[in-house]
Amino acid sequence: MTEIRDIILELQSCGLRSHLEIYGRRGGAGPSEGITILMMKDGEEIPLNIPFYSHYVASSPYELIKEGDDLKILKNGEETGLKIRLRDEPNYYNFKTDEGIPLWKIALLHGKDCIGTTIFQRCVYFGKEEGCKFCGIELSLNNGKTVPYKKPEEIYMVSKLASQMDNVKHITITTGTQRDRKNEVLSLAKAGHFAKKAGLDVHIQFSPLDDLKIFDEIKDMGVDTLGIHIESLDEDVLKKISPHKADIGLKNFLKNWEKGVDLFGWGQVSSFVLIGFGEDIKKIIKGMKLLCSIGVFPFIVPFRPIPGTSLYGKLTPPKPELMKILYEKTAEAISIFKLNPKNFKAGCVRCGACSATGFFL
Amino acid sequence: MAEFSLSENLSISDLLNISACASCRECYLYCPVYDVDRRRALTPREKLKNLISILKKERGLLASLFGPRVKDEEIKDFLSALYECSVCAQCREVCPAGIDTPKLWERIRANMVSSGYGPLPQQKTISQSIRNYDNPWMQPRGMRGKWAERAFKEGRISRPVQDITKNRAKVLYYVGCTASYDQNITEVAINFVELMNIAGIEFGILGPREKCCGSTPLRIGDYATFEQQAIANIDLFTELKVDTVVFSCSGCFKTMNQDYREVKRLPFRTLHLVQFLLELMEEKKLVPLKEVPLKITYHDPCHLGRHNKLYEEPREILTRIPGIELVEMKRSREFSRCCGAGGGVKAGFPPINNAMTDMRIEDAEETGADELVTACPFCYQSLQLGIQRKNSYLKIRDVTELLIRSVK
Repeated sequence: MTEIRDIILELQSCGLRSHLEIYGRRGGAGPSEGITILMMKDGEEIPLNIPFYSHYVASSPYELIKEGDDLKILKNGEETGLKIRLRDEPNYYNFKTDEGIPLWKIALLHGKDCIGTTIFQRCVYFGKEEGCKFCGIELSLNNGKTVPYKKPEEIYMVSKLASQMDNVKHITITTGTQRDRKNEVLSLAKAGHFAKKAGLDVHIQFSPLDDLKIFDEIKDMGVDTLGIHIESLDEDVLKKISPHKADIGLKNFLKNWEKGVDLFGWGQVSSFVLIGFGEDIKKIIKGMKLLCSIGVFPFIVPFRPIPGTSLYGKLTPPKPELMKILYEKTAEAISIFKLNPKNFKAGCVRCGACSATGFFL
Repeated sequence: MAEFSLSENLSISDLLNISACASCRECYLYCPVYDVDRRRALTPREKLKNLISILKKERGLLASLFGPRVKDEEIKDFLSALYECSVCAQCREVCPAGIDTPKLWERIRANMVSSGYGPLPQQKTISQSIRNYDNPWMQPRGMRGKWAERAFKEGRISRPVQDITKNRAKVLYYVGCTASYDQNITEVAINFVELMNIAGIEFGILGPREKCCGSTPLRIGDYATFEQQAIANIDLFTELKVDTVVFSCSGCFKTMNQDYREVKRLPFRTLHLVQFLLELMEEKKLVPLKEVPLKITYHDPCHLGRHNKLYEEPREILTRIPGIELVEMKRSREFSRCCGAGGGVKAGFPPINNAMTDMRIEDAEETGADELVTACPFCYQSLQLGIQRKNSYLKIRDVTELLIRSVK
């Protein structure tokens, strides 16, 4: 019998077909599209983000069907036995800001109890040669799904309502890179400050800074955890998928990670590590161990191309067999360096929906 | 207090070593101290970085114009990190730049001592005890050879052990302080002596005239005490005209086999007992015939393994014993996790020593072995205490204990 985690791996790599109308994430900042399902595991509902809208999903062996009130996932027409449900649409989505902006344009529900927002929806690198090839940050803006800038008071409002009406516990605040880096990062921290006032634990994400003193200000504003994403631990791949991050260099990432760990604590800083661009596995494993050794959580995620980005149609997610090896190695390093994701106070690692690392611990 | 100087006595090679760090952080992955105390200041890379910062403030351009400007606080922070290290050489082993970190730490510690900052207050008694009693345990000299007398009286050895100063022999068994004084560890010495008797080897011990090798003072930077012990020992062994000195303690062996050679020429050969026993086995003077049905795992002492590259000899002895099944820990040979007792950590940072030992015991438990075997009384002592503290099912053994069960 196939193990649950093997099914999860296949689902995250192959996606889920369905004729059902399901709301999900088609674009935005970062590397993945898809829907979130909630799966019962050991008496707890675990969120899983699965490819849904991409072209390659059409050839997935997995299909989501509805029988009466029950949702079922079939593999090649046979029941997998996974007990799942779809998230209800959050109540806060029905509210608007004073300026009439629907709150779902300010922040979306991610996973089970997390909301995510992109403070600056424009990025100086978007669409440029040196930009991240996997990211769809401005696509959702062009589609009218969001607004270019989210004000701190809007963040407060969405956080408060999401917390009260939908039991949301934490927020992920990200951004496109701005010319004024200090203003960019302090804007995230300020938004975080307001979210914190509304009762949420706060995770903010930004690329490495030259001036590390800004970290102290971020900390003082109530931010709980940081995401400083290198995206790939294979420098050759990084040069191709995110030339500007390759230019930043590992040395600067390390300085920022270490400063972050010094201030925010062991295991409270994370980095996305995308897999699926033809990486050298040895380099990934070595780099991932390095991250763990300095207290940075490597958030290993299978890359899933977003419709509208330059990689869409050219690449598909990595094979589940490859992901299995990497997840096993990650889990080993995470446990050696005592980086329990359950202790991560806020953000992607706490949510865990886009990565299957939690199933290997 | 003498004028502070960390650059004192540093050779060109030391300075090259200091600046060779590529910040790859490979040492983070293996440092056993960092495994139990996640302060980055403790990692070799960070220590080198902080050392460079201090050296610049002491000898850099600004220092030459305006005088040294190293803050006391900075020195004390560095001092604490410098001493929270068992000098196990794991970092040297994995360093792509090949930086000889143990040597460097010892030299810097010596500079700390000459500047009046080191060693740590809790380590000072070690040197005092060695100067007063010739051992670090504050035990009277006269008690040093008592284990041999008792063992003969109790019938645990077949012949009285000869005092080599009275009955000259070519082979000197240098027992070491821990195996001489610690009642729980004298077993190691007793077994080795009996193995020598079985093999028909003429040998002797120094008894009350045996002096500490000076290993711990050297590791904590007290070079004067080390040098005093080294000269006294070399002169005594030379006067006795011994051919071979055999050690049961890996720390004593490392010190005499390597560090003494930097003080004076040694007119005798130095062997750890695993080398000596293997020679006797090769010569068929010791033939393990009786079955010892045990599943064991072997802990490589840092001073025997990484420092002297003796990985195969103890394994060769153990696997020649019928019935022994040797299973390796995940970290073995050059990656063996330090038990945490060495380098002055036992005296300076007991909780760190305990946590490191506990991790090593967990490594051993993971293998499913019944017994944990080692070849160093100092590791034996630390692991034995850890097994008791953790209430582990494991039993600690020395290589000699298993061999004697098979040859007797």
